[in-house]
Amino acid sequence: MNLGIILAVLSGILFGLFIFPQFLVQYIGLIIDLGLCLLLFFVGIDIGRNKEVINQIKESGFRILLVPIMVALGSIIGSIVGGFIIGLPANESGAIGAGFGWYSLSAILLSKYSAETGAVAFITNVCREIIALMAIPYIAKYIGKLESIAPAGATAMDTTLPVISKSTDGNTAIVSFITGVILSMLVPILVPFIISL
Amino acid sequence: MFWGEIMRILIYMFIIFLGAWLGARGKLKESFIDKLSHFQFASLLALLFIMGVSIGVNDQVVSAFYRLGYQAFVLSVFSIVFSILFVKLVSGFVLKDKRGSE
Repeated sequence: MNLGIILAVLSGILFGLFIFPQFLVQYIGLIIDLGLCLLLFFVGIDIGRNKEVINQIKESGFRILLVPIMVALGSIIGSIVGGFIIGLPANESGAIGAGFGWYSLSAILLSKYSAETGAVAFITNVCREIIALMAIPYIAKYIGKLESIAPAGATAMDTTLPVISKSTDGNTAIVSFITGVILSMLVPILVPFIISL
Repeated sequence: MFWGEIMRILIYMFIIFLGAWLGARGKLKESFIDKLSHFQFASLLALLFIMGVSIGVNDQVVSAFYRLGYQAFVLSVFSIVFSILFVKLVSGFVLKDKRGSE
């Protein structure tokens, strides 16, 4: 399964680079939206079939919120550390990390500050999504299920949720969705705040 | 953009709830679920392929990657590694039975 996911993403990128006809580009967004809805429906079926899911989520209560909080802190601090290594100011690298994988919005917000920072935010968060899609099955297997939500960031509620669900279980899928929703809500607040520091 | 995002979240929630409701009714046969699982995986690979295509055909992404790929790679890897480490600190408190199974 893991290798299949990596091959699907990489072959898609190569196909898009060299072969995919330009006149079909306008339909890609629609195909992705429909495919995503179909896969989220399957995620729902998996959750519904596991009778223990709701009880376990209730039992965890507000502790579930620790996951998005730690993903947010880890993303921002990690990005600042990475930025220090490549010589970026802490407010720029921190704001890029606060995009949490949502490349379109973080790039738009940061391009108001500087076009170059917006471009770095865009490609950094695209990179994050590509790495997340390929790494999630391995993180779930070798590190832990909840930890597999971390690389997904804001995309844990949509594009990476089917991969997380397939690699883990119903409980983790629900935590993943909640994490993605909270992080998505934080992006438009944290990115302008951190860049202004 | 804010209301569009709220709407998107509500649509996703509705779709997941609809699937959960069908799954919880217990009327789906095991043989159907087995077939569904294969179809689900095939759909996942197809979606990932198309998502890859959407990145590959985007000239803006490709040109930015050639120019800023090194910086982007360092920032994304560090943010991913740190977020995993931070979640690791609390994962024992959040859900039981957290080890991966596949």
